[in-house]
Amino acid sequence: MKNTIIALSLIATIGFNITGCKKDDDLVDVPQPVVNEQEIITSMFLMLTDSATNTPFDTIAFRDLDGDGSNAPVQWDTMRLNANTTYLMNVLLLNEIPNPADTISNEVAEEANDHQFFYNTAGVSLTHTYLDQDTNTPPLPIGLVNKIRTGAAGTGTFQVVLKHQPGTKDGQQTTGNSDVDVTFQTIIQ
Amino acid sequence: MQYARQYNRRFEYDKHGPRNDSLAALNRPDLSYELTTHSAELIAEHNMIHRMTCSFGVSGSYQFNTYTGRFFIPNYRAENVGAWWIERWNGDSILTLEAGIRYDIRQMQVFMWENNLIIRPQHQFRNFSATLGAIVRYSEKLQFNINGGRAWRAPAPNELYSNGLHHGAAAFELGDRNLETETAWNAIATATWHEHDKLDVSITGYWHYFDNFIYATPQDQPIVSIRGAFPAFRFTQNNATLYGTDVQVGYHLNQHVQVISKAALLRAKNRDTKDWLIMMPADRGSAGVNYQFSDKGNWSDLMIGCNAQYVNKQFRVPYGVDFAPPPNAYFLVGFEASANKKLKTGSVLTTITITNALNQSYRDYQNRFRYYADEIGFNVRLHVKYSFEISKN
Repeated sequence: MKNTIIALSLIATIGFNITGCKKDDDLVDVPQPVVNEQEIITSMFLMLTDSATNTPFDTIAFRDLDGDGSNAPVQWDTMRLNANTTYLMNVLLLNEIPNPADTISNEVAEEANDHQFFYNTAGVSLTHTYLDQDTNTPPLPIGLVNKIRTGAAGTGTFQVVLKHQPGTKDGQQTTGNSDVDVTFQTIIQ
Repeated sequence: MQYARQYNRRFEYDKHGPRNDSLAALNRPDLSYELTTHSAELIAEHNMIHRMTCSFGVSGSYQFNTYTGRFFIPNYRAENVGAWWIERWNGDSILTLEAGIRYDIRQMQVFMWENNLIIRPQHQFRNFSATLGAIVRYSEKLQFNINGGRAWRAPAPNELYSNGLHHGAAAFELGDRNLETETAWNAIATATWHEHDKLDVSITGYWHYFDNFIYATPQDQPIVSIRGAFPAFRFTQNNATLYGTDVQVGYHLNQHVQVISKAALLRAKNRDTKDWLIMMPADRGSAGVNYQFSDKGNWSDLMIGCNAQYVNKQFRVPYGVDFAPPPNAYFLVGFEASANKKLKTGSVLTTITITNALNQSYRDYQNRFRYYADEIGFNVRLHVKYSFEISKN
């Protein structure tokens, strides 16, 4: 019986201690805000200019404002182009989590020797030409500035892949890691 | 009285390094956790009175977890307090009975960012568990173990809150913060037949009746981010019944040759949907033969063996839930050889293991990589272990 009493009083002490140490760990209460993450790309804009008239044509956007989070993209445009037309296409990448947004495409331009965009078409008549080059020897394309030329009307997809190839850039899409991989529904009309 | 503290620090790296090379050079982990656990247990034991042994105790633990980097599970503090009591009756050489009961309270305080605000949800789970067991030594060779009981577990923090890309599996894991306590009624019966250096047989049958069984189920919509689409799994719960049997037979043909075979069958039903449960192990069986050589001089543990394993296709899958149909049945062959040589200052144990000797290309139903890739092919492993021996002067 005596043992039991000792045991019970110890239980009470332990219980007290467990609640007692709550205050010590300020760390737990203040999780690091995820908004500090610098390396996220949330949004991609394909800015199209009609090359014949040199007038802005359209901006095609993909925006997923929680980055790697689970929410669905808030904007995922369909690319609608005119048949038999040439467009200049500039790519803008943003991280829209901080305010003002970070322009990630500037970072890509700074590290052009380690990055390359790849453009893949399926089901539509569309040809792509790079208009920019890095300073590798021999120079390799970057893909921030491009020209696309449409053919006959049709429906298909246009895939944009940005590869990070640190020290290994070789012009191949299979090298390195994908920083961006987005497929747009594409209608040529 | 026992006290323990565990400190766990973990870094996870993604194949995607930071784009900024100066940041990448720091080689910082993409995600790091710190998990500290303090636990204490107090046990009191009564000696035999009328063949009864009684023990009871309390245990408590306090755990806190912090992370830096990308969100996967939130920071949290958890406190557990439990009290238990076990009675054991050593009736005679034939029968032993045991009964126990336990009550636990688990409190969890979560801290996380949601829409740029810190939220502090609190959870409390409390429940009781109980066991009732009997050991019947029917004869020198035959013994029965019978156990029944009730058990429960609180949902884990990742099951409640995970919301991110799981690095190990290239898949999204989504928690559900409304998950409730999982409880189960269990019954397990084992019969063992033991003849020394001749025959060992063990047959187990089990039955688990779950309320709110927690598991991860594939989502029909992938999670899309700018890096592409990823398959997603969401934690969910259902009432489920799991039952099955394990059989193991070991037979010593003679002093050198031993044959071992095993089989495991499991049926897992979702009682809510009247369908099978997802990601449950398929029926399987294995058999192996070992030849043990006699020790020679400084050499001991000289053994060669081969084994074969058959895993059936998991036909019992829920309709229209998974990303891909279950992979086919597979058959694997493996070999093993070992030798131990005694040296002056110790001994060297060398083991060579060959797995998937037929170089089968196969996929396992329970591996999430099966959506993308085959399992490991022909594989040879050499294992050398040196044991220092302290001389007994």
